[in-house]
Amino acid sequence: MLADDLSAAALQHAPPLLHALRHELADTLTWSPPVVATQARVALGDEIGARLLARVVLGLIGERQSLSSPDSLGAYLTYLANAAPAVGRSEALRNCVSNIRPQGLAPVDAARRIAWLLRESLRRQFSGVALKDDSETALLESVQR
Amino acid sequence: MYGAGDAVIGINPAADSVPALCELLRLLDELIQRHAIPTQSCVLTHVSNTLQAIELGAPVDLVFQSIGGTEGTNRGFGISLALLDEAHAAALALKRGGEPLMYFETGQGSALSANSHHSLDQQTLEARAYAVARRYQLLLVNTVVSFIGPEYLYEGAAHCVGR
Repeated sequence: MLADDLSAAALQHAPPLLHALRHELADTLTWSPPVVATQARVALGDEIGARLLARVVLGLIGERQSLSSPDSLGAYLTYLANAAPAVGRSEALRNCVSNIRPQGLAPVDAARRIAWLLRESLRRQFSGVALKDDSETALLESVQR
Repeated sequence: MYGAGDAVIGINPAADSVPALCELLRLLDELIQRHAIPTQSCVLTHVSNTLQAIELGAPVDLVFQSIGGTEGTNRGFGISLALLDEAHAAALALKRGGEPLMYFETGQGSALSANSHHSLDQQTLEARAYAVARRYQLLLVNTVVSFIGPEYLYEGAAHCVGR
Protein backbone atom coordinates (compact mmCIF):
# COMPACT_ATOMS: atom_id res chain seq x y z
CA MET A 1 0.00 0.00 0.00
CA LEU A 2 1.32 3.42 -0.94
CA ALA A 3 -0.04 6.36 1.04
CA ASP A 4 0.84 10.03 0.78
CA ASP A 5 -0.18 10.83 4.38
CA LEU A 6 2.06 13.65 5.64
CA SER A 7 4.37 13.83 2.63
CA ALA A 8 3.36 13.17 -0.96
CA ALA A 9 6.93 14.06 -1.99
CA ALA A 10 8.24 11.02 -0.10
CA LEU A 11 6.42 8.69 -2.49
CA GLN A 12 9.00 9.49 -5.19
CA HIS A 13 11.29 7.08 -3.29
CA ALA A 14 8.76 4.25 -3.49
CA PRO A 15 9.47 3.12 -7.10
CA PRO A 16 13.25 2.64 -6.57
CA LEU A 17 12.52 0.94 -3.24
CA LEU A 18 9.97 -1.46 -4.73
CA HIS A 19 12.23 -2.16 -7.70
CA ALA A 20 15.11 -3.06 -5.37
CA LEU A 21 12.79 -5.06 -3.11
CA ARG A 22 11.49 -7.18 -5.99
CA HIS A 23 15.08 -7.75 -7.05
CA GLU A 24 16.06 -8.77 -3.48
CA LEU A 25 13.18 -11.20 -3.11
CA ALA A 26 13.29 -12.44 -6.71
CA ASP A 27 10.84 -15.32 -7.08
CA THR A 28 10.20 -16.08 -3.43
CA LEU A 29 6.97 -14.09 -3.11
CA THR A 30 3.71 -13.54 -4.92
CA TRP A 31 2.98 -9.82 -5.03
CA SER A 32 -0.44 -8.25 -5.11
CA PRO A 33 -0.87 -5.18 -7.29
CA PRO A 34 0.20 -2.05 -5.39
CA VAL A 35 -2.71 -0.15 -3.86
CA VAL A 36 -2.50 3.63 -3.81
CA ALA A 37 -4.45 5.12 -0.92
CA THR A 38 -4.66 8.88 -0.59
CA GLN A 39 -4.81 10.50 2.85
CA ALA A 40 -4.41 7.04 4.41
CA ARG A 41 -2.72 5.95 7.61
CA VAL A 42 -0.77 2.79 8.38
CA ALA A 43 -3.68 0.75 9.74
CA LEU A 44 -5.61 0.90 6.45
CA GLY A 45 -3.11 -1.62 5.11
CA ASP A 46 -4.52 -4.26 7.46
CA GLU A 47 -7.93 -4.10 5.81
CA ILE A 48 -6.50 -3.90 2.30
CA GLY A 49 -4.28 -6.89 3.02
CA ALA A 50 -7.19 -8.86 4.46
CA ARG A 51 -9.29 -8.25 1.34
CA LEU A 52 -6.40 -9.32 -0.89
CA LEU A 53 -5.85 -12.41 1.32
CA ALA A 54 -2.25 -11.28 1.80
CA ARG A 55 0.00 -12.89 4.40
CA VAL A 56 1.99 -9.69 4.86
CA VAL A 57 1.21 -6.09 4.03
CA LEU A 58 3.88 -3.47 3.44
CA GLY A 59 2.70 0.10 3.86
CA LEU A 60 4.87 2.81 2.32
CA ILE A 61 3.84 6.05 3.96
CA GLY A 62 4.96 9.62 3.35
CA GLU A 63 6.39 11.13 6.52
CA ARG A 64 8.17 14.31 7.52
CA GLN A 65 10.21 13.72 10.69
CA SER A 66 11.53 17.27 10.65
CA LEU A 67 11.76 20.34 8.43
CA SER A 68 15.07 19.02 7.10
CA SER A 69 13.51 15.72 6.01
CA PRO A 70 10.22 16.62 4.31
CA ASP A 71 10.38 13.66 1.89
CA SER A 72 10.91 10.82 4.35
CA LEU A 73 9.35 7.49 3.40
CA GLY A 74 8.36 5.08 6.18
CA ALA A 75 7.85 1.36 5.57
CA TYR A 76 5.51 -0.51 7.91
CA LEU A 77 5.43 -4.28 7.74
CA THR A 78 2.59 -6.24 9.32
CA TYR A 79 2.10 -10.01 9.32
CA LEU A 80 -1.59 -10.62 8.66
CA ALA A 81 -2.13 -14.39 8.56
CA ASN A 82 -2.72 -14.71 12.28
CA ALA A 83 -5.61 -14.47 14.70
CA ALA A 84 -5.36 -10.68 15.21
CA PRO A 85 -8.42 -8.77 13.99
CA ALA A 86 -8.13 -7.01 10.62
CA VAL A 87 -9.34 -3.81 12.27
CA GLY A 88 -7.74 -2.40 15.40
CA ARG A 89 -4.48 -4.32 15.30
CA SER A 90 -1.95 -3.19 17.91
CA GLU A 91 0.87 -0.97 16.64
CA ALA A 92 3.27 -3.24 18.52
CA LEU A 93 2.61 -5.88 15.85
CA ARG A 94 4.31 -3.82 13.14
CA ASN A 95 7.94 -3.41 12.08
CA CYS A 96 9.04 -0.02 10.85
CA VAL A 97 11.94 1.07 8.67
CA SER A 98 11.96 4.85 8.59
CA ASN A 99 13.65 7.82 6.94
CA ILE A 100 13.94 6.16 3.53
CA ARG A 101 15.33 8.82 1.17
CA PRO A 102 18.67 9.40 -0.55
CA GLN A 103 19.97 11.60 2.32
CA GLY A 104 18.81 9.10 4.94
CA LEU A 105 18.49 5.36 4.47
CA ALA A 106 18.97 4.91 0.71
CA PRO A 107 16.12 2.99 -0.98
CA VAL A 108 18.48 0.15 -2.00
CA ASP A 109 19.68 -0.31 1.62
CA ALA A 110 16.12 -0.04 2.92
CA ALA A 111 15.09 -2.76 0.46
CA ARG A 112 17.65 -5.15 1.99
CA ARG A 113 16.31 -4.51 5.49
CA ILE A 114 12.70 -4.87 4.41
CA ALA A 115 13.46 -8.02 2.41
CA TRP A 116 15.07 -9.55 5.50
CA LEU A 117 12.08 -8.58 7.66
CA LEU A 118 9.63 -9.93 5.07
CA ARG A 119 11.41 -13.28 4.83
CA GLU A 120 11.72 -13.63 8.61
CA SER A 121 8.15 -12.51 9.21
CA LEU A 122 6.83 -15.17 6.81
CA ARG A 123 9.11 -17.82 8.28
CA ARG A 124 8.31 -17.07 11.93
CA GLN A 125 4.68 -16.10 11.23
CA PHE A 126 4.64 -12.86 13.18
CA SER A 127 5.82 -9.28 13.03
CA GLY A 128 6.30 -6.42 15.47
CA VAL A 129 8.30 -5.87 18.62
CA ALA A 130 9.19 -9.57 18.90
CA LEU A 131 10.73 -9.62 15.40
CA LYS A 132 14.16 -8.05 15.81
CA ASP A 133 15.83 -6.58 12.74
CA ASP A 134 19.00 -8.66 12.44
CA SER A 135 19.64 -7.71 8.83
CA GLU A 136 22.56 -5.52 9.93
CA THR A 137 24.96 -8.43 10.02
CA ALA A 138 24.07 -9.32 6.45
CA LEU A 139 24.39 -5.64 5.44
CA LEU A 140 27.81 -5.30 7.02
CA GLU A 141 28.96 -8.47 5.30
CA SER A 142 27.75 -7.14 1.94
CA VAL A 143 29.55 -3.82 2.54
CA GLN A 144 32.76 -5.64 3.41
CA ARG A 145 32.49 -7.64 0.19
CA MET B 1 25.07 20.27 33.95
CA TYR B 2 24.63 23.59 32.19
CA GLY B 3 21.16 22.93 30.79
CA ALA B 4 22.60 23.33 27.31
CA GLY B 5 22.01 19.89 25.90
CA ASP B 6 24.90 18.44 27.85
CA ALA B 7 22.94 15.98 29.97
CA VAL B 8 22.87 13.34 27.28
CA ILE B 9 24.19 12.73 23.79
CA GLY B 10 21.44 10.93 21.93
CA ILE B 11 21.05 9.21 18.61
CA ASN B 12 17.67 8.53 17.04
CA PRO B 13 18.43 5.73 14.57
CA ALA B 14 16.32 5.12 11.46
CA ALA B 15 16.06 1.38 12.02
CA ASP B 16 15.79 -0.84 15.07
CA SER B 17 18.67 -3.24 14.71
CA VAL B 18 20.33 -4.55 17.88
CA PRO B 19 23.82 -4.98 16.30
CA ALA B 20 23.67 -1.38 14.98
CA LEU B 21 22.42 -0.22 18.37
CA CYS B 22 25.37 -1.88 20.12
CA GLU B 23 27.83 -0.35 17.67
CA LEU B 24 26.37 3.15 18.15
CA LEU B 25 26.51 2.73 21.95
CA ARG B 26 30.15 1.63 21.74
CA LEU B 27 31.08 4.59 19.50
CA LEU B 28 29.38 7.08 21.81
CA ASP B 29 31.00 5.52 24.87
CA GLU B 30 34.43 5.71 23.23
CA LEU B 31 33.86 9.39 22.37
CA ILE B 32 32.76 10.22 25.91
CA GLN B 33 35.63 8.27 27.52
CA ARG B 34 38.35 9.58 25.20
CA HIS B 35 37.47 13.22 25.83
CA ALA B 36 36.34 12.65 29.41
CA ILE B 37 33.04 14.39 28.68
CA PRO B 38 30.83 14.62 31.76
CA THR B 39 27.74 13.31 29.98
CA GLN B 40 25.88 10.12 29.08
CA SER B 41 24.75 8.48 25.88
CA CYS B 42 21.42 7.15 24.76
CA VAL B 43 20.34 5.49 21.53
CA LEU B 44 16.59 5.86 21.14
CA THR B 45 15.18 2.42 20.56
CA HIS B 46 12.54 0.08 21.92
CA VAL B 47 13.18 -0.98 25.52
CA SER B 48 13.29 -4.66 24.46
CA ASN B 49 16.18 -3.79 22.12
CA THR B 50 18.00 -2.03 24.97
CA LEU B 51 17.53 -5.15 27.10
CA GLN B 52 19.14 -7.28 24.36
CA ALA B 53 21.97 -4.75 24.04
CA ILE B 54 22.62 -4.99 27.79
CA GLU B 55 22.70 -8.80 27.51
CA LEU B 56 25.26 -8.42 24.70
CA GLY B 57 27.44 -6.28 26.94
CA ALA B 58 26.82 -2.92 25.29
CA PRO B 59 27.61 0.21 27.38
CA VAL B 60 24.06 1.38 28.15
CA ASP B 61 23.90 4.60 30.21
CA LEU B 62 20.20 5.35 29.86
CA VAL B 63 17.05 3.40 29.06
CA PHE B 64 14.77 5.12 26.57
CA GLN B 65 11.12 4.36 25.91
CA SER B 66 7.94 6.02 24.67
CA ILE B 67 5.22 5.67 27.27
CA GLY B 68 1.50 6.32 27.42
CA GLY B 69 -1.14 6.98 30.03
CA THR B 70 -3.26 3.86 29.60
CA GLU B 71 -2.49 0.15 29.60
CA GLY B 72 -3.74 -0.18 26.01
CA THR B 73 -1.50 2.66 24.79
CA ASN B 74 1.49 0.97 26.37
CA ARG B 75 0.46 -2.34 24.80
CA GLY B 76 0.49 -0.46 21.49
CA PHE B 77 4.06 0.59 22.27
CA GLY B 78 4.86 -3.07 22.96
CA ILE B 79 5.60 -2.45 26.63
CA SER B 80 4.24 -3.11 30.10
CA LEU B 81 5.25 -1.80 33.51
CA ALA B 82 6.92 -5.18 34.14
CA LEU B 83 9.09 -4.76 31.02
CA LEU B 84 10.07 -1.22 32.08
CA ASP B 85 10.97 -2.56 35.54
CA GLU B 86 13.08 -5.31 33.97
CA ALA B 87 14.99 -2.85 31.76
CA HIS B 88 15.48 -0.46 34.69
CA ALA B 89 16.86 -3.25 36.87
CA ALA B 90 19.15 -4.50 34.07
CA ALA B 91 20.58 -1.03 33.43
CA LEU B 92 21.02 -0.40 37.15
CA ALA B 93 22.95 -3.68 37.44
CA LEU B 94 25.52 -2.38 34.94
CA LYS B 95 26.63 0.09 37.64
CA ARG B 96 27.70 2.68 35.07
CA GLY B 97 26.30 5.89 36.52
CA GLY B 98 23.43 4.78 38.69
CA GLU B 99 20.23 6.76 39.00
CA PRO B 100 18.65 8.53 37.30
CA LEU B 101 18.77 6.30 34.23
CA MET B 102 15.34 6.48 32.61
CA TYR B 103 14.55 8.68 29.64
CA PHE B 104 10.90 8.73 28.54
CA GLU B 105 8.94 10.31 25.78
CA THR B 106 5.19 10.78 25.80
CA GLY B 107 3.66 10.70 22.34
CA GLN B 108 0.67 12.94 22.77
CA GLY B 109 -2.10 11.57 20.58
CA SER B 110 -0.85 8.00 20.70
CA ALA B 111 -3.63 6.93 23.10
CA LEU B 112 -6.27 8.09 20.63
CA SER B 113 -4.30 6.59 17.75
CA ALA B 114 -4.24 3.22 19.56
CA ASN B 115 -7.95 3.59 20.35
CA SER B 116 -7.01 3.25 24.01
CA HIS B 117 -7.98 6.72 25.24
CA HIS B 118 -11.26 5.63 26.87
CA SER B 119 -12.76 8.99 25.79
CA LEU B 120 -10.38 10.83 28.14
CA ASP B 121 -9.05 14.25 27.22
CA GLN B 122 -5.43 14.59 26.18
CA GLN B 123 -4.37 16.54 29.26
CA THR B 124 -5.55 13.76 31.57
CA LEU B 125 -3.87 11.11 29.40
CA GLU B 126 -0.63 13.07 29.48
CA ALA B 127 -0.80 13.38 33.27
CA ARG B 128 -1.36 9.63 33.49
CA ALA B 129 1.74 9.05 31.32
CA TYR B 130 3.72 11.08 33.87
CA ALA B 131 2.35 8.76 36.53
CA VAL B 132 4.02 5.90 34.66
CA ALA B 133 7.24 7.92 34.45
CA ARG B 134 7.39 8.78 38.16
CA ARG B 135 7.71 5.12 39.10
CA TYR B 136 11.40 5.74 38.38
CA GLN B 137 14.08 8.32 39.03
CA LEU B 138 14.14 10.20 35.76
CA LEU B 139 16.77 11.93 33.75
CA LEU B 140 14.14 13.30 31.40
CA VAL B 141 10.54 13.14 30.33
CA ASN B 142 10.15 14.66 26.91
CA THR B 143 6.57 15.52 26.00
CA VAL B 144 6.28 15.08 22.27
CA VAL B 145 3.49 17.04 20.64
CA SER B 146 2.20 16.87 17.08
CA PHE B 147 4.50 14.00 16.13
CA ILE B 148 1.52 11.92 15.10
CA GLY B 149 -0.21 14.76 13.30
CA PRO B 150 -2.14 17.93 13.98
CA GLU B 151 -5.49 16.21 13.44
CA TYR B 152 -5.26 14.72 16.93
CA LEU B 153 -5.55 18.16 18.52
CA TYR B 154 -8.89 19.93 18.80
CA GLU B 155 -7.10 23.27 19.06
CA GLY B 156 -3.64 24.66 19.78
CA ALA B 157 -4.44 25.08 23.47
CA ALA B 158 -4.96 21.33 23.71
CA HIS B 159 -1.18 20.89 23.86
CA CYS B 160 0.00 19.77 27.24
CA VAL B 161 3.31 21.54 27.53
CA GLY B 162 5.86 20.93 30.22
CA ARG B 163 9.29 19.56 29.70
